[in-house]
Amino acid sequence: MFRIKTNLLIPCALAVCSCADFVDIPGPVNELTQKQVLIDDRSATAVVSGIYSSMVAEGSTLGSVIQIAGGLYAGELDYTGNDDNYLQFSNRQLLAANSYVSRSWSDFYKFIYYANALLEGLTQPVNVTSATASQLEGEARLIRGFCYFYLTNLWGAVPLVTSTAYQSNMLLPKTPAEEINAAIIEDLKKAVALLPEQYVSAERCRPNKYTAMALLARVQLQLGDWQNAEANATAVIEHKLYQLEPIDRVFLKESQETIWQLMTVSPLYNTVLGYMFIPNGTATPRYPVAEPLLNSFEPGDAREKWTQVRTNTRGTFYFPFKYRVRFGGSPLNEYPVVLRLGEQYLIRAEARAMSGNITGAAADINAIRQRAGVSPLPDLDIASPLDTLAGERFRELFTEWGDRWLTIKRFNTRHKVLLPPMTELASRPSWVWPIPFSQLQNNPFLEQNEGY
Amino acid sequence: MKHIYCPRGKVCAYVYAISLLLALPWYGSLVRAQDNLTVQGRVLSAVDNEALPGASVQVRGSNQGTITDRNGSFSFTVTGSSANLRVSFIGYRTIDTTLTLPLKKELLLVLSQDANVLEGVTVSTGYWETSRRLSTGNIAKVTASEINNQPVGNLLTALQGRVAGLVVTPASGLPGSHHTISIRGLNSIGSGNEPLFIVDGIPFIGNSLSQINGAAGQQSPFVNIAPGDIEAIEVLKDADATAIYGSRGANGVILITTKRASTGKPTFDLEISGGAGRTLNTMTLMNTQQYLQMRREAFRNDGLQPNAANAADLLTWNPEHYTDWKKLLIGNTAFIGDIRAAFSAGANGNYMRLSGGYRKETNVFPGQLGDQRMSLQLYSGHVSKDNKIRLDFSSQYALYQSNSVPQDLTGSIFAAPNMPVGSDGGGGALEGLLSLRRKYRTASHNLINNLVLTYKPVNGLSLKLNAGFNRMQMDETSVFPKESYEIPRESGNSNFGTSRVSGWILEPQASYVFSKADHKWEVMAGATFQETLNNRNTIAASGFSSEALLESPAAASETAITQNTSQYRYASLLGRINYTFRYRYVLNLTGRRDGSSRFGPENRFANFGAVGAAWLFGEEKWMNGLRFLSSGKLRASYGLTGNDRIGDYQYLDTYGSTQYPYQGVSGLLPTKLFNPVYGWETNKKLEWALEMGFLKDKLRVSVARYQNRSGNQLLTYPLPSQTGFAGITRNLPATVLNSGWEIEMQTHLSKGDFSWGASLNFSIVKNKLLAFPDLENSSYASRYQVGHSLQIRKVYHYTGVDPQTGIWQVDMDADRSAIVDLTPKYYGGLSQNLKWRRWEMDLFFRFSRGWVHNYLYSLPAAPGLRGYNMPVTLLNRWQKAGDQTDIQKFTTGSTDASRAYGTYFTNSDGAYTLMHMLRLGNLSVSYTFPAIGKPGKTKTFKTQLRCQNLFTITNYEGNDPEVTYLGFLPPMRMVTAGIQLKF
Repeated sequence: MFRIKTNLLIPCALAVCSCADFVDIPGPVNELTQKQVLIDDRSATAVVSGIYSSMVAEGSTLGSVIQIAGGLYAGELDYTGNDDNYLQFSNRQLLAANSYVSRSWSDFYKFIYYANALLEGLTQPVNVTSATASQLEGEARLIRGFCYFYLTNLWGAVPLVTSTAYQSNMLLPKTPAEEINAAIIEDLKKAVALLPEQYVSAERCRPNKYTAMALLARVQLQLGDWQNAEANATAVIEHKLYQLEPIDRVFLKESQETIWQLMTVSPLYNTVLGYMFIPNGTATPRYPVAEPLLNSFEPGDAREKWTQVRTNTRGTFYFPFKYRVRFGGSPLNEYPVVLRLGEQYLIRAEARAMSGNITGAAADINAIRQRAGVSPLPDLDIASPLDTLAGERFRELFTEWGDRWLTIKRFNTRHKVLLPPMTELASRPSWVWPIPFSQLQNNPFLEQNEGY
Repeated sequence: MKHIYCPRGKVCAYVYAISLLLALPWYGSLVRAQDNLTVQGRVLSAVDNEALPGASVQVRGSNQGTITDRNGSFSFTVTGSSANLRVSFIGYRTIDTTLTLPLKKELLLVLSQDANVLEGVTVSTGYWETSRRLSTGNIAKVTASEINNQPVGNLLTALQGRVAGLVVTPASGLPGSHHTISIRGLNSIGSGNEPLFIVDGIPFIGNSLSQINGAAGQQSPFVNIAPGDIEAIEVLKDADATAIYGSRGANGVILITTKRASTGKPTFDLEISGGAGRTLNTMTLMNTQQYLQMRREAFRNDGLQPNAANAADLLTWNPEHYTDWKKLLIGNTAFIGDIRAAFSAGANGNYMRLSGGYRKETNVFPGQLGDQRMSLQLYSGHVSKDNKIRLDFSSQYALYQSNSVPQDLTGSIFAAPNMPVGSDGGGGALEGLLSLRRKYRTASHNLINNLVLTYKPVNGLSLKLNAGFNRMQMDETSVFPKESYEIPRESGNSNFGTSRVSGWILEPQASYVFSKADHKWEVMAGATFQETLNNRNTIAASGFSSEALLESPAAASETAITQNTSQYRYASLLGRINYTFRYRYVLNLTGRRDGSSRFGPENRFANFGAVGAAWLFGEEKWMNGLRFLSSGKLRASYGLTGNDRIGDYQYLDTYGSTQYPYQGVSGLLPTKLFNPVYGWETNKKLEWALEMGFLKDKLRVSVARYQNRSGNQLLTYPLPSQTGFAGITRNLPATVLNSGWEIEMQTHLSKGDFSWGASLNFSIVKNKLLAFPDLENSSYASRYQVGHSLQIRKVYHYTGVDPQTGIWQVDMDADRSAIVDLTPKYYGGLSQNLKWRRWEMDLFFRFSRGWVHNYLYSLPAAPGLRGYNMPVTLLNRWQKAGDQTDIQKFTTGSTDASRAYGTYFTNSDGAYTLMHMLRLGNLSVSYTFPAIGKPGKTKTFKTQLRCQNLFTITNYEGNDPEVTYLGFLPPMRMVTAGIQLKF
């Protein structure tokens, strides 16, 4: 009988000692903790794969919102729908509560968080080969630089967040745009140094050294650093990996012009933009191409094939047709392009023109014009090289990553030229978007941008 | 726990008790000890001749007395040659008798059951039992007979209105529908408010296992427990009763105990019942003429011309055709069949009970849809000859199968009345009609095993081990054939879900009871180890090669899988000290130290505890003068409990898989910001209560007042997105106060063959958000307001229909500043029991008053839209300038009027109404035939008619005051007839 009593008491006594161990459970089997993630090349690579996968996902800022909202705001596109949040963009009268403004802000910082988390993880002693570690650090820096480039060009001064510590990040005020730009340049230069020349995986879905250089050229052009912009663009243009493709092939996934593309992950789409731009049946295109852009095409410009006409009872509309497949399924033949060679020619042309190398600028512009099947300019119109450049960029890069907005902004700050549609708003042009209302609510140290 | 359910023979027992009382003087025994005389005896229950532990035996007019021990025995000393003895026990009739001393034999006192008391005699907290008389806490008990009188399939339905402070809200009237349950209001802003459920000592999951919802929404997990197998349900409310559950006790505890074996001769019980049910009243809808009139008027109002594209109902469909969609879709009769058999026997210290049941309940939808449950329960045990070792084992298994559709068809009764069956272009209502071509099937399994090993090495000491495990599994399949879509697809699609929850618990305990003179001590210490594993996955499958293979995910060309697993571990030490002085003063101290895996390593442990006290002032000498007051007790308790109803792993920096792989590599991303240091929500409960009995306890009244303060609220605290995420789980010093009054009354009168008993419970509740730092700037700003309940809605103030424009108007300037509080103002239940000879009738009314959504809130669309029929009450609409009415003009949609409905009216206080309701929740009539057979081998036969929701008196204008949403099936009115055999 006594034996029974002790048998019962032993677990009781053990209980006292082992409670803490007992409730210390391992993590869930369908999720990992950070320590478990960066244990080898494969799991570490899964993190950047995750970032790209969420970048290109439906509804993501980088999937369609920047292209569409940015396109509406800069006059590339018109809007035929009745979503007030988009109407605010096409009317260029944004409210701080605009849902796309809010979503874009949050998405950019989400990707920055992912990149920061990966960079922090890589500083820990991990069992990742040095080649992979370099590749991943380069990619994380490139993603972070890419996001900050858009943040500062859309909002001006924004908080510069470089860690995952929410306790301090939640109270960060705006960082001046100059500091943001310096951080972008630093990230991209490190990415250039870290990334290999060859693409690390099939297709061009993960950045290599030239991707970083091409993005650096885009940033340096925006900042008026003509010399470095030209040098970086030249390095990309001269590399044998990249060739201009015929107009019909530019956005195909095998295009040799592509410097960086995101793989389409959802089986529902070929590209999200194709789905968004191409109307179903006889429906009215939701985001038709704006008239000034349509009118600027010269006769015979093959780039007119990047638009298509739709006529119905409401009228005749042209919609963007760079991506030509509306739905997913086979064959999956288009990937969303982030950086391509055509832009590098135009970057170099502008950098050369501003450095006084008009002949070189003309050659670059003509490379793009020839590919489009329009006659080369005999020499750049010296009287207005900027007009020529702006027009060529408009026709070449419309609906690509808010390029028109970047051009308008750059022309205003670097060339003191006001481009339409900002000319209509000369009295009070909004060069930045409003800081989302919810962000002001949740961070008392954030101040609203001027004009909102 | 004592089984006191006594369906028959009360009168015989009474006579038996009287005869024993008369014989008392000769049954006594005397032991002379010094100058005093020792009175020794036992107190038994007339119901089953079992011992009654905890009964009070007092010498009137003196301090002498005691309560009976667990064998029903007592012993105390008196002086003198006679004594006026009062023997009382709650739930039984008090006996007053005069003893002539010395006694010659051991005194045998048999108490007959007092039918006016609907609650049981002993109450349990799961860790200890106490008599209601000496209890320091608030424990309500619902007995088997109260549950059995109701022909319902879900035991939670049977609890509606039965317990003060308990609110049970069914999601709809469909079998298997989920029930929201809360005890004494909502405590938590961001975490769970469900109580802790314990079934036979094992924690039971209170949340649904559904992942793919069917017509009934999420399936209630309680469908896997047969109400007929339940012995008692105890509801633990105050700190004294719940603090022993520590971090799990904040929202109260519900103990469900299944039927035990009884010793004695083998008995066989058989119960068969069958019946039918119909949906309670639903609103009368427009007929074809009225509907077409509404549509034409909508076009006129909007200045539009109907054409083939926007008015098929007016131009294409037959204007004479009429389909009563309501009758077709939800107007069918549901059939209920229930059969239960139990065998019980015991001898030589062994006892067992085996019971099995089958229930089938069809629903009111067309077709052969319905639910069924098969259940099996075994209880067996052994007591050693010396009474020192006891072993109790129970096992129950139930399989619940539901065969239904994915969507509640009630939403589809609003289809246009002239819509041809199978037509397209019917508007949103068509979706529901197509739902009939779809399938939703579930199979839920539940296994609960429990073993209790008790060892009593010496008198007063008891060592106990409670061990058990349970496993639940729910498999769901929903099938959407291609022709079930408005525009038929190339192939159908299906969803599959599997949820598995398994857990075990181990609870060693030791308790010691000793008394000395007027002092009695009960000490208990124990520990708990518990683990729960959750595994849920779903498969969404499409691209099937054949429609015949829709139920096989292997035949799908595309599948998307989700998986969710979690582990919960819980360990704690607990203890209790109970001190009773002269059976008048009781002090109860409880404490618990809890560790839970739901919290990070730094905050994993916390302490909880409570102090409870009771003063039985009715036993004081000076009370003898107040003859009308037969008993009185004042009790109070205060303590701290916690709420750990948050998800698992919230403190970890987890990475989850992205939905789609990228270049063949499945992505991994951080899923949240993590806060490793958050802790428990705490709930401080204060209660005091006065319990009194009048006129020999013919009327008993208790009044309880409670104040529960929930602080350290665990919330998703909003963060600026620059941190990468929108918020973080964090403790906030927000405080919620639940306070209220609970009044309970019982009375019983009898004369000759007739007896009447009544029991009333009445609750007044108040819920208030006391503090919420920086609420205005949080994402909770639009939902809560300091100083108001957690169940408020912040809405526009409704100002009526503009007599000029005919459109619903709200006060836009005031924004959403109007507040509607959906906390019930009061609620309660009144049950009555009438007996006349062999007839017995039970009536149960429940009532409530409070703000609820009115029917206008959930109209299928703004009135006048194509394809949406409306209640005829809407014919009282605005028609021309100057009309004064509360219904806006008809519109075809995309107009100011339709926006005014969807955007403003439904978000205004015009969409709410102050409802009061009195419902005859249950009526049960039974007749017991005279027993036949030889004594000891009698057979009894009883017939019973049971009705649920017979009638309702209410000011509520819509479908049903308890299920206010027009698209959900209202509760059912059910009538079943049954027979019970016992031999």
